Amino acid sequence: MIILYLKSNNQFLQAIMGFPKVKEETSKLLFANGKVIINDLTKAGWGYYEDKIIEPQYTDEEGELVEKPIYMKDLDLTPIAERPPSLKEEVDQLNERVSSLEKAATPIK
Amino acid sequence: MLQPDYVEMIHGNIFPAVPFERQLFYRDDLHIWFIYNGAAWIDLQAPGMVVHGNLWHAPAFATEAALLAHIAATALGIHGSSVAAVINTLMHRDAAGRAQIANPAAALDIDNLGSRIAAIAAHAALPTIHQDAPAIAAALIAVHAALPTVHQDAPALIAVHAALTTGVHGVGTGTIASVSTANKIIYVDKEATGAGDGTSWADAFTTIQDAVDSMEDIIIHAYTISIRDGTKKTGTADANILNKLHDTGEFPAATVWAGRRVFNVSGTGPGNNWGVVSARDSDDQLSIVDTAGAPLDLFPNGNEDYVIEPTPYRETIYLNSDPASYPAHLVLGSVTIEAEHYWYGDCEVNVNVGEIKDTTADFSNVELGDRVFALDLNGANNRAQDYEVGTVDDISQIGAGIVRTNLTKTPTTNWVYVIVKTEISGSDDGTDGGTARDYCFNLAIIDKVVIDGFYFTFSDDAPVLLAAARYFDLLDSIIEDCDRGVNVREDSYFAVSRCFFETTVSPTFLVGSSKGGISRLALTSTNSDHLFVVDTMSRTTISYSYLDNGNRGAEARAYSYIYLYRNTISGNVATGIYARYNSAVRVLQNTNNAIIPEDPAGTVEGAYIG
Repeated sequence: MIILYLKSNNQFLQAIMGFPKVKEETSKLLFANGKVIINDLTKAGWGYYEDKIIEPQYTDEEGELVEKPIYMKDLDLTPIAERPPSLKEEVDQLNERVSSLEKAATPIK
Repeated sequence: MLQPDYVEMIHGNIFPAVPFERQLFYRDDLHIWFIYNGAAWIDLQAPGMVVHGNLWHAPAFATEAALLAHIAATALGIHGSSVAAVINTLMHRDAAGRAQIANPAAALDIDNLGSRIAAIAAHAALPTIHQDAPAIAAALIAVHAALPTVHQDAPALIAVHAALTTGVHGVGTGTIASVSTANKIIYVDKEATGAGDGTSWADAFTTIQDAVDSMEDIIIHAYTISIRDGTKKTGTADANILNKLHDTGEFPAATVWAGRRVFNVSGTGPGNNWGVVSARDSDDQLSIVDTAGAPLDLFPNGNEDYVIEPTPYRETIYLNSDPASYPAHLVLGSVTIEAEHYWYGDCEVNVNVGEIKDTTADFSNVELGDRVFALDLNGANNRAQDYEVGTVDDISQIGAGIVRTNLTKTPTTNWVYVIVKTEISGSDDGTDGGTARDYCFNLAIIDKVVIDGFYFTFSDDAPVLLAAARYFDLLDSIIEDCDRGVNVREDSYFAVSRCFFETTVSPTFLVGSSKGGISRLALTSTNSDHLFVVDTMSRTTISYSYLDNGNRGAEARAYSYIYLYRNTISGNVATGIYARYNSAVRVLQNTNNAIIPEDPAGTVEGAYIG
C-alpha cells in the first residue's frame, strides 16, 4: 500500500490500498490514477509499505470523539525494500531494451 | 223553453231555468206572481209594489208622517243618546258641553279626569324620589362612599391585580408567562451608572446576561440587545522602559487598568502587536505581559502610539441553557444580540497597502485598536483566495471613508471587510493562562437568535455553543485566541457568515447532528488542528471561505455531508478534504492547495469526492 505522510513531523495522513501504481512525479505534484494525490512533495512524503489495517485513534472530549493524530513511528510499518517501478520507469526500461535490440540486430542486406 | 214572441202563463214550484225579461211566473207553493226584470225575479205582491190589476196592497213600511217627524227631531235623547257613560249608547254633550265616558282600561282608551287624578295621586304617593332628589342623592352618595375602596382606589387595585402571578384568571396555582408587547431595544454598557434597567444608554444594564434575563418569557416582537464597547485610552509612550508602557500622568488609580489589552499601533508588523496590562505601577506606568503572562516589551522604541482597550465583557451568557439559574425564554419573534460597533461592506478600488476604502460606509465611530478582518474574493468565480486580520492604526481619513490599518495587503474591489471592537472574553485577567471560562454565549433550545459584531477572545472552549437551537445566525465577528470557534450540536440549524476564526486547541468549527451553512469565513488553527469538522449525520455548506493552517480542512464523518463551493484550501493545510464512515464531500469550483488534497483519493469507504 502507499502511505502519505507529512515530512515536517512524520504525521501519517493517508493509506491507499489496492490502488494503482503511482504514475508520475511532476514538479511538486504526485499523480496516481490521473489524480493529484500530493500537491506539495516538499512537504509530504510517500512510500510503499506492506498492507496493514490502520485504525484511527480517538479521544473522548466531553462526549465528542476527536481523532488523534497518528505518527509514522506508531504504525510499525514494513517498507517494501524495492518499490515497484513507476510507469515512467517501466516505459524507460522498455525503450532502452528496444534500443539495445535495435543496435544488436544485424541489418539485412 | 218559452218563445219570446208569445206569452205563456206558466207556473210551478221552481223558477224557469232560462227566463226572459218581463216574463211572468206564478209560484204555486208561494201563491205569488213574479216578474223577471232581466236580473232577478221580482215579487209582484210585495208591499209598495204597484201592480197591474184592480187590487191594492198597502205598503208595510212607516208612514211618511212618521218619517218626517223623525227627520225633524232635534231634542236630546235621539236614538237613546245619553250624557252618562252608558254602554252601547250614543253619547251627547250636556248643557255645559260635557259628556262622560267610563274609566279607560286599555292603551288606546279615551282618558278621563277621574283616571288622571287617580294616577297623579298614585304618583304623589310614591317614595320621595322627586320631591327629595337632593336628599336621596346625598343618602346614596353616603352609601356609595361606605363601599369597599373599589372605585376610589382603582389604580391601586389594578396594580395589585397586575402583580398577581398565581391563580390569575383561573389558571390555578400556575404562573402566567409574561409576553412582549412591542419591539424593543435593550441597552448594555458596562460603564453605565444609571438606573440599570436597559431603557437607554444612560440607564443601561452593565452585563449582557442582565439584559437577556430582563426579556419577557415569551417574545413575539423583534428585540435587539445593543451592547456598547466602552472607552478606549489612546496616547503615545513617552519613555522607553523594558516591559512597561510609560506615559506620564496618564494612568490614574481610579481607573481599572489591569487585564485590558494594549496595542502598539505604530508598528508596521503583521497586525497582532499587542499585550495585556498586568498591573498599574504608578500614574505614569503600566506593566505589560503577553497572552501567556510573560513580560512583554511592547514599546521597544519608547515613543510609539498605544491604544488600551476597554475592559472586556467577561461573562458567559446563558440563554435557555441553564434554566435553573436564569429564566428561560420562548422566542417567537427574534432576538438580535448586537455589539455596538461593527461595519461590513465591500472595499472600493484602492492601491494603498493596509487601507480599507468604502465611501458608502459610516466610519465615524471607528477607533484606533479596532480589529479588522478582510477577505479577498478575487479568485476564479469570485472564490475566496486570501485574507488578513489586523488593527486600525490611523483614523485621520475616516471622514473620507478610509480606514488605515496595519494589514500588509491591499484590500481593493472584491474584498470584503469586518471591523469589530466590542470584546467579550473568556479570560478574567486578559491572558490565556489565567482564569478562563468555556463559553461566551451558551445557547440551547431557542429560536431566532442573531449574534452580531463581537470580538471573542480566550474562551477555554468555543465562544459560541449552540445546542438544539434553530435559525441561529453568527455574523460579522472575529474569534481569536480561543480553544475552538463555534460548536454546534444536537439538531441545530445555523448560519455563520463574515467571520474570522483563529483557534488554538481543537477543531475550529465543530458541527454535530446539525444542519447549516457558513459563508465568507476564514478559518485557521494555530496548532494545526482540524478546521471544519462535520460529524454524526450533519449536512453543511461551506462557500466563499478560506481554510488556512490546519491538519484537515473540511472533514465529514459518521453519515455526514459537506458541500464545498468556491473556497480555497491553503497549502498550509495537511489534508484538504477528508471523508470517513459513509460520509460524502461534494466539491465545486474550489482551489485545493492542501499538501494532500483529498483523503481518500478516490471513492473509498463510502466517501464520494468529486
